[in-house]
Amino acid sequence: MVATHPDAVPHDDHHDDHAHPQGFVERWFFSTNHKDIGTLYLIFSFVMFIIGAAFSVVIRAELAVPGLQAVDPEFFNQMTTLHALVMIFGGIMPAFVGLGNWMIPLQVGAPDMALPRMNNWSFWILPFAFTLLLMTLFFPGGAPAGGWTMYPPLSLQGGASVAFMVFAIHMMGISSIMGAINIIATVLNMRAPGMDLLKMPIFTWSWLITAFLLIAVMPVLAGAVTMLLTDKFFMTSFFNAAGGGDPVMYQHIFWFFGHPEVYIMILPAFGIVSEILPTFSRKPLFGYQAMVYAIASIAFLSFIVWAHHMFTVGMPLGGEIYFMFATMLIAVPTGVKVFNWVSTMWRGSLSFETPMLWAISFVILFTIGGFSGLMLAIVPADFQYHDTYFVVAHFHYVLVTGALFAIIAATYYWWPKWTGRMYNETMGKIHFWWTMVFVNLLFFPQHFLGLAGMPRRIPDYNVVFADWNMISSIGAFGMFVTPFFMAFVLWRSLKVGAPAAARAWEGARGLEWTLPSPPPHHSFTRPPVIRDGDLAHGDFAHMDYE
Amino acid sequence: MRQPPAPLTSEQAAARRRSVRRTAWLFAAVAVAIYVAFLLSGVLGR
Repeated sequence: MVATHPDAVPHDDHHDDHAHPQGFVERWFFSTNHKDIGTLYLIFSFVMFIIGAAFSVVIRAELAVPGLQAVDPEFFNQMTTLHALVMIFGGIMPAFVGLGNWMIPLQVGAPDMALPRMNNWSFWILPFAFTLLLMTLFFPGGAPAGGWTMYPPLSLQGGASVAFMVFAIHMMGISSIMGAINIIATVLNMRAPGMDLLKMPIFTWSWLITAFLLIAVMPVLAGAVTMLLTDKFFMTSFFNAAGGGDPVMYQHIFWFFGHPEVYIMILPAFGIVSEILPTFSRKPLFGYQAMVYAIASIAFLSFIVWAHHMFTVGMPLGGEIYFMFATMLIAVPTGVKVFNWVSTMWRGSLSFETPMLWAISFVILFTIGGFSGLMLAIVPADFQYHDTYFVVAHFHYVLVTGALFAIIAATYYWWPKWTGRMYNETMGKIHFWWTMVFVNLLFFPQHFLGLAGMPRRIPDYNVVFADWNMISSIGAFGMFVTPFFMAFVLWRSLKVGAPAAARAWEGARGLEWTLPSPPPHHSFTRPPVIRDGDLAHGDFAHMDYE
Repeated sequence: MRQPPAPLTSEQAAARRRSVRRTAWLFAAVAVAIYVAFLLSGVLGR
């Protein structure tokens, strides 16, 4: 029953399932094909990951030993700011959009994204946005150095780079909103007959909810940075206390965007892990509907907890208590998800191919990041941890061993589908274990540094912090090798990898696995007939695990 | 072996295009409204 979808066999009554000859420019610059645009997003995010990682290496080189040796403090601040902006808006988010572009139409049985031309536009805005942002490194005053949160008045002390940063963020926001609109329109309107909402793969569900979050909060960020821009260049005083404005208001607005933004970067990761664990456990996902509702609950809660980032700014005790308990509430749906992932594996017929290793490590290490988040939610404790390396350790466990690990897991998982080639398992596992060692060397000591009181965003520190900083820097240098090694593993698979079957993984379920590997350039040009056995989830009683 | 699926009729395809456009414009309007609302809250809420 593999590769039996009509798109897998030639038709003579239409030509939509054949890639018509295209030149390089036509295919990659003017493409409206979701697979090509997904590939562009993934390549772009990979480049951004390399650039962002290079910035982090500069940071860790400076912090390897006490004292100022590698860069001057102003440049150090530019590196911390750009590292975050590049990794968040250039790395993690476009990677998930790329995965969504590739997989959502295949998972819901749609021929393409609902708005293909806008899809092209969404992508091609990004290179220009990041050119605007990164060119500020060559300005006389340097790049933005006020942190990715851009708190005024500090962020407004830069020169022309402020305007470039604001315009770049506007463009990234427009790109994200158009991408989100496209995903919502695709999922709501383009599903194949029989693909009910509660039969959709969990990755598609996670992206649908993420898209709603994007629509809701990217305009908030745009509003905040627009007001920053007018404060800087048009003499307004939204956040200028001297003119009657309120700098703390900026922090409220920013974190009303910023906290949902964290979930924008993790919810698709939840979806990916929820696809991979059942495949390599050879069991349906435990508690599919509970997973959907848990993702929706986390998304809702993300809107009502923003001020936990601001406990030390000063707020009424009632506000602190509310935001503390509301934040802790997030642990409930998150706990449901972790419980369901473990239960999916429980008594499954487990095998440990590379995507599974990344997915299991996600569950363990993301949970560490979740627990340190709970510690940060406790108001009196947060007064100790705030702006220390404990916070840095926390959000890197969420975003690196969480979001990034899920992106890597998804790449290994769907790579055979995308390319029709298997990668070398041994090399994939070397990539995994190398990363596991160095990512924990990099980030785990930062918990100790933070608890001991080392502040973040400072290029020099007391010698008492020297040992853990050296270990953390060794971890960073070891980590910097890994994306290049991954690129080599994938490049090598294109050259010498074994051909992949349509259902590349024995336990894989979902419409995408009914198509050949690689899928035709235009797939599902006719709506597929869906059997329950093709669905990743749905009517379990009829699933045929052949 | 499943039955070969039928392609969408032109009416079905047109209806789908209309609903896609409707969804896109609705969410674009929501995004713009949120943006304008936050700017107005900064201007009027002082």
